Amino acid sequence: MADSTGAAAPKPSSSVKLVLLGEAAVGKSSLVMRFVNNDFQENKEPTIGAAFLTQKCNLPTRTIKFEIWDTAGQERFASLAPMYYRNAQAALVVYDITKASSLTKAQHWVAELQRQASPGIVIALVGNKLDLANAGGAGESEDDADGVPDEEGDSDARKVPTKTAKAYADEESLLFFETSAKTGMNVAEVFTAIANAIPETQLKGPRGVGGQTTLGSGGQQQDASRVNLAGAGTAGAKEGCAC
Amino acid sequence: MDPKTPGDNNSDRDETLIFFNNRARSGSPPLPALPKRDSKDGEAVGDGEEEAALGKSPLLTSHRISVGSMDDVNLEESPNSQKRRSRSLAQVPTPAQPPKPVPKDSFSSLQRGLSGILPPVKFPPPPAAPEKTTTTVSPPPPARKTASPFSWFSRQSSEPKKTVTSPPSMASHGRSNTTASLATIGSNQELALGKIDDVDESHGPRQRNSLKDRFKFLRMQEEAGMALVDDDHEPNGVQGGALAGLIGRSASVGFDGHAPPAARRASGTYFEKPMRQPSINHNLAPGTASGISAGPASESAPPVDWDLWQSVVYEGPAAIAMTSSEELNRAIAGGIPQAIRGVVWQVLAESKNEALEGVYRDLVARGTDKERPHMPIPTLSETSAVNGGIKEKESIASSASSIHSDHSTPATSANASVSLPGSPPPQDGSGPEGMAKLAEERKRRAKEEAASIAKLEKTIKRDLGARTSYSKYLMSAGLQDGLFGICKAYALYDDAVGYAQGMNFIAMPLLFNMPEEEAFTLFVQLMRKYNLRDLFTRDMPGLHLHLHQFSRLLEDFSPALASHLHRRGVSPQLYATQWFLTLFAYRFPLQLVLRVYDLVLSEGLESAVLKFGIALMLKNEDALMAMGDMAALTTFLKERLFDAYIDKAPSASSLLDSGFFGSAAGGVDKEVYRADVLVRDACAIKISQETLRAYAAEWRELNRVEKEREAELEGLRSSVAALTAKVRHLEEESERHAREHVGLASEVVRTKIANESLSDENEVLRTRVSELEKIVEKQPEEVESRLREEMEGVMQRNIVVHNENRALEEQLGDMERVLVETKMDYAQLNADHETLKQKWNNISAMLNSQ
Repeated sequence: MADSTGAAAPKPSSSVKLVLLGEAAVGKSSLVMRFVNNDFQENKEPTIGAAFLTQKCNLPTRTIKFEIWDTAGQERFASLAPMYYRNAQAALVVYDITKASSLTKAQHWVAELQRQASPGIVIALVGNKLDLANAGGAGESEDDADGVPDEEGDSDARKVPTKTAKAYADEESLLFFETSAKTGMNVAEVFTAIANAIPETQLKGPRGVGGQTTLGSGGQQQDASRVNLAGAGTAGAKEGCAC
Repeated sequence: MDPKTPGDNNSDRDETLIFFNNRARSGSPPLPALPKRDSKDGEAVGDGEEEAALGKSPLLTSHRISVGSMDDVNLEESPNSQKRRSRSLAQVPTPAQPPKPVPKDSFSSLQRGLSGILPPVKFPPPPAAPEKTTTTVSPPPPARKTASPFSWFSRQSSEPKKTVTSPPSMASHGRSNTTASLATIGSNQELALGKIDDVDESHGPRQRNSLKDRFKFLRMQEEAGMALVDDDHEPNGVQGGALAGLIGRSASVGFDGHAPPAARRASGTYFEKPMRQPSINHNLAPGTASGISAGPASESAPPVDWDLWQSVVYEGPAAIAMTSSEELNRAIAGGIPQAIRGVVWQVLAESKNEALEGVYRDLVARGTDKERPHMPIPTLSETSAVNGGIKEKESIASSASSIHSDHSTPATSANASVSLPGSPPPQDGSGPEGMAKLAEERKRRAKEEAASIAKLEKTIKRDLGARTSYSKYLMSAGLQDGLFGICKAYALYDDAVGYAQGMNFIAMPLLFNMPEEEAFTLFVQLMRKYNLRDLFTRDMPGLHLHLHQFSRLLEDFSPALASHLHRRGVSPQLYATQWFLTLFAYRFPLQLVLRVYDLVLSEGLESAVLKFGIALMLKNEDALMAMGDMAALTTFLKERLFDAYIDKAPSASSLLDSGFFGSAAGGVDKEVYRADVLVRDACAIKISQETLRAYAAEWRELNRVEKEREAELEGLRSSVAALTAKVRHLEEESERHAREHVGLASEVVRTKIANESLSDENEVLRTRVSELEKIVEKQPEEVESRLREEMEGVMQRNIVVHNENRALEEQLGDMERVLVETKMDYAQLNADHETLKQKWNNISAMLNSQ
């Protein structure tokens, strides 16, 4: 999505470290693959450790280069996570809308991020596998890999109501989206919304791991509030298209 | 998903064996071998064969290499060779005597003593004969032979020990058996039993084969195939296998003494012919490249050092200790020959454990329909500590077999009742109600388990499918079920670890080389003995440790690269995690991974993986240094690191070697990799144990400091929280005080204002008071004077009044005198009146009288 739009005059470009968290097999890697390569694999192999990818996102006023850290979801790998979300400016906490427990896990991640990650971090709550929920969604029959019963072809496999997740997201001031990595629905929107929600003051040059840490503390409080405001705004704005 | 039944396995094995045998014999007429078998002096025959092989092999090699012709031969010959194979297999575990060192007469006595054994060498064993042997040679408990739940149990007892740990004593034991008495043989039930079972199940001796037997086999085939020794060679081998199956020691001596010249020369000569065979075992390029690079091997280090492998197989890891590391390294660097790789791996890891294989089958069956019949043997891990599980079981088993009657010994059942609910109950001690309770408990647990197993299965399945890079390959080999089985069984076997992503990758290369039960035991051994387990337990301490070691070693070996990566934020955690968690199997081509496993199993996990990691980094140092972008670096580190070992101009030989992958893997491995170079590079990396230990200590220290720091941080955080709360409290208090103060102040102001007005009022009052005082002061005089004046007035009036009064009194006196005068007048008058009246009355009475 990025490369097509912005070939014009050089806009200010900055990189944003983004980390994906969430229970195993909710589709973190698939979301990233959809975003980065616009591709989807039915049965992706599990992520071991973590994967790293980058993708640019063009906004009207600036270009954001996402440095995406895609983590392994299995509980076992949780001890690796801190080193990935350390200094991250954005986090995608993913759950599976067909699996209620995954939202609980997502909430744990959100809590951990709020406790441990850098204070101004922009968190987006993403419910994936929307294609399994929409009766009109495409290609449901193929997806038997995750134990979705085939018979329920057009009935709703959704286990997490949009309202529940949305209410939680609002309460915690998170961006909220429901996506389908399979159909690509809302995937780009998530990243665009995150790019928009990152306050300009937090942005740094294309590379600056060292400076990144020092940047935070001064304007943090103020940044945090601003992020939240922006987040609420975009989340509200997006409702039109998401639901 | 369904575990293979033993029967299935047997048939598989049979096919394999047939194939091997065919291959071994391909290109040479098999028949001449048979007559020579009769010769009692096997060794002499062997020598002759070697000579023959030496003479013939050059001509025959080309023939052998042609796969097509080989196949043809195979087809024609298979029935015959199959028979032979099964025969020799049946023979293998018998306590036979090495032909060479024994004098002829003692050998014949051996023959007599083992009369039941020898016939099968010549003929397929008639079913009746072995039975007879059973009764004459040793009377093992009949229960043994039937597939009782304990068959795995008792069987296991002596076999691993004898095959792996102490073969020399075994050999001597076997010797004494032959010369001494049948009773001795009988006392060693396992031997007798093994023989019997093998005879009985000569077509499916799968479980009965010791690794040694298999090795012998494979070696024979390899050597036959490689050197294309004349057919005479094979009978020797077969006979060796038949007779020396249990005396590996002397057999190996025999080879050392006689066979090697031929074999070595043969291999030296033909080593350049890379393609030894396309076997069912997926043949890599074992050792070919190194053979080329090393040139015709010196006497001490032949390209494929069969003797070394043989001693490894026969003596177990002890051989490794004895072998100079140089030699072993060279051997490993050359690659374990593919055909025996599975066997050697198991020997290196000391993993062969039939009891555990039984456990595996039961675990796999758990939660499926097939569970019931196996119910008597649930996991041991549930009742015994994971690490102690096997040992405990071994001790149980051996105690059972040392006491001859098997299932009734208290030792067995007492121990078994803990872990084997289905064992004979009487010794349970708790009586029927205890059993009932146990059953109740079991039922309840079974229900809970069923749910968790279903969940586990789902989780594991999700990670199989087409999700792995070897998946196509794996599926084509029909190993998906095995992979699933291993993951599931291990998760059930080791509760504390369960199933972790990454295990599936580790298990895959194992499955390519051995049946799933053995792969499972090897997997368990990797976890335990090789400390792989630490990498998968909670918080993965082992992983973090190794990552630290790796990053420190990288600093040591290439400071520039280390700092280059560090500057760009590419930490080992990002790319090396998968190396450790999957032993390189996550992304690396199988050709390389198998070689990694070779080294891992022979050298230990830690140093092997670290060596490979460092070797890869150094190999790619320049490429990495040239990259500045983090994304490029990480991609390269994860996906392209092994490309440095692509054989850009693969020789025809290595192409052939990897041919199997090229075709069967469905294009997974398109390239040919110079695995030997990789292994050599890795072996060239010298990492001393001290360094590793030092870094481990360092890591622990760091970890401790980190933990302390975290704890301190946590402490500080909580104290900050407490203080914040206190501050807030104080703030509230001060606010309250401030409010109070404001209230007071305003009150003061109000009071002051009131005060002001009051004092004004006071002033006014005071002046008024003074005025009043003045008035008061003046008042008495006035009053006095007025009083006096009034007094005087009153006095005067009094005087006046007094005078008036006196006047009045005088007047009154006058009046009283008047009154008295009047009254006197009145009385006078009255008396006058009375006199007059009397006169009147006298007159009137005179008148009237008149």
